Amino acid sequence: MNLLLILITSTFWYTNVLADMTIKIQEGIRGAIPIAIVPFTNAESETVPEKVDAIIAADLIRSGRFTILPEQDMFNLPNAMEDIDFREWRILGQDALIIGKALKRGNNYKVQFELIDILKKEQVVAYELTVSKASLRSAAHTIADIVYEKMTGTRGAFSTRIAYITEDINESGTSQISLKISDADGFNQQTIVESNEPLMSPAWSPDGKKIAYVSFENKQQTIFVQDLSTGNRKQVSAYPGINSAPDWSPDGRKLALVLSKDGDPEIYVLNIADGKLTRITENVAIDTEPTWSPDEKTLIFTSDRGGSRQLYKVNANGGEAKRLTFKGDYNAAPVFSKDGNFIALVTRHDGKFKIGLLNLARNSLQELTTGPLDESPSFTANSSIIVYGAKTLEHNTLSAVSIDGRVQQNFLKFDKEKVREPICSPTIN
Amino acid sequence: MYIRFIALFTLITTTLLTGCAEYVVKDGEVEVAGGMPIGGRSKDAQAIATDRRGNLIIQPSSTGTSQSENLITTDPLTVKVILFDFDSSSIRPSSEAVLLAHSHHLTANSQTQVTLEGHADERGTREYNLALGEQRALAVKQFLMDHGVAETQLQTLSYGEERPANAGSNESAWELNRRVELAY
Repeated sequence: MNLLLILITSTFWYTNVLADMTIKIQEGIRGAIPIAIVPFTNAESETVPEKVDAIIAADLIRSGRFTILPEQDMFNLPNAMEDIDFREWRILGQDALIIGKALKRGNNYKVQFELIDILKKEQVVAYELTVSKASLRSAAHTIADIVYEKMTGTRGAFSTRIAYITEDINESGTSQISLKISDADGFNQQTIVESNEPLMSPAWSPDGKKIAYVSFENKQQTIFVQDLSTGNRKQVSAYPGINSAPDWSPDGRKLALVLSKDGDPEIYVLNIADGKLTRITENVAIDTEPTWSPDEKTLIFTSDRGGSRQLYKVNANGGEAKRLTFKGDYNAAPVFSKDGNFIALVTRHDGKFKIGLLNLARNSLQELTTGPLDESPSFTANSSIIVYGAKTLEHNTLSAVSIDGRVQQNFLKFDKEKVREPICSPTIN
Repeated sequence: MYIRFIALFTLITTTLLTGCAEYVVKDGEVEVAGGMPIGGRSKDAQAIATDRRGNLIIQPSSTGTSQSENLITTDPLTVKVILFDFDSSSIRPSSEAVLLAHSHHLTANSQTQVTLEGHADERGTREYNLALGEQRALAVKQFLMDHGVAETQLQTLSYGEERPANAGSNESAWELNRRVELAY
């Protein structure tokens, strides 16, 4: 079979390819913050190619933590603090107001914004950013991050990125599989690697600069680590049998992975610098899907050693594994939240595969989605949202659910291509 | 398609095969009921069937009389897909006839290599399905080795759920996707 393999560096960008947003609010958002964003219009607005205010609004809505006042409900559209009539915004029930401008300045754009507390009648924060045309969207995400953090006390994750696998089957029946990266809202799509053979299991390094993935391009499962800025890549694992499920240690020096070279799938830890392997599990059952705890002391993984698929926990240096989940007959694909408080997983109930959330402090398992074929959960950098792959009869989409389960959204869907295995980047400074 | 094909063989009785060389497999042993050893006929097309007791009958087609109108004489070597039950890597009894034919072919052609490609349906997580696909490929490998094929002739590769034979999301698609493909 022909092997098509193209490594594309960060100079090759697609823009505005997608973003088919549907947001489903599962119930009234208790505690959501009402906020108004006055359109960033001005006499020069036609020269600004991105609607900065709309991008900020979409980000804040997607988080599930805010309700946004529709523009047609506004009495006035102030652009400056001195033009604000606080009574009218109080009547409209708003806690906060964002006003701002986007102006063309030579080859660049100047974006100004102010976040205003309606009740206290004072400015919370004000910024001015000067950016190139290509960075206008990221300027809007930065503003959304600032607003989110000021209003909720938690760092925003709108400036992060997301990696995923797409598959397109052409007219001759050949499939083209790609590992792609986009902004967290699905824009600015970039292809990292393409192949006619499967690509699987993308995993972002903790510094956000590299991605590990599994490729079948050599008719054998091979794990590569690829530098995102240069496109250079290194083969780190190509043992006989399974080479799969890489997960970076929090210090970025090791990969937990699955190898079957000794007979059946076992968890190993690979030291990336010298290639040294440490075997972690030793059991005739299937052991797979390792995830590191943020303190790097523990690995959680899936095993069917007890008869059904459940999560187990083992010291990151090896030793005896202890069963972690007991509810139901299927819990798999664990992933730790960055704060270490939760594990997202795939749980099966009534034959449907759903995204579940294990609260480690309470030892409770909550179903967040309804299935039927939800998989590959990944936490956003601030652990507030879980992104996952959802299969339906018509489409494979990337979806997102807030960790309280109240806000659910399909945010990435293609007409022709299938999309799967989303993974959120860490916060990239 | 393959399911129907395999099922048909189980309906054929030994009475259709009178006058031909027969190889009857009982408890994993091949009994030569007449004619040439299986290895010597390996390049010929072979008819294959099981009787009502589940015994396997392999009949070299070159003996002529096998081309009876009532006998289905599809070459089992053309069957290169072995199907599995949900979440299982156990070889179905109905698959053994086809795998025996492949083992005969491989033992007679010791230079021939085959890759056993293991697959799973889309239910369950991708990484686990990779492991399940490997278990299926290894089960076929073990069967072939138990019937005399050298390990050096056999490679395994699991595709998990990444390469479905049928892209549908329903029971009939899943049935076809839980498989091992013999890629010569």
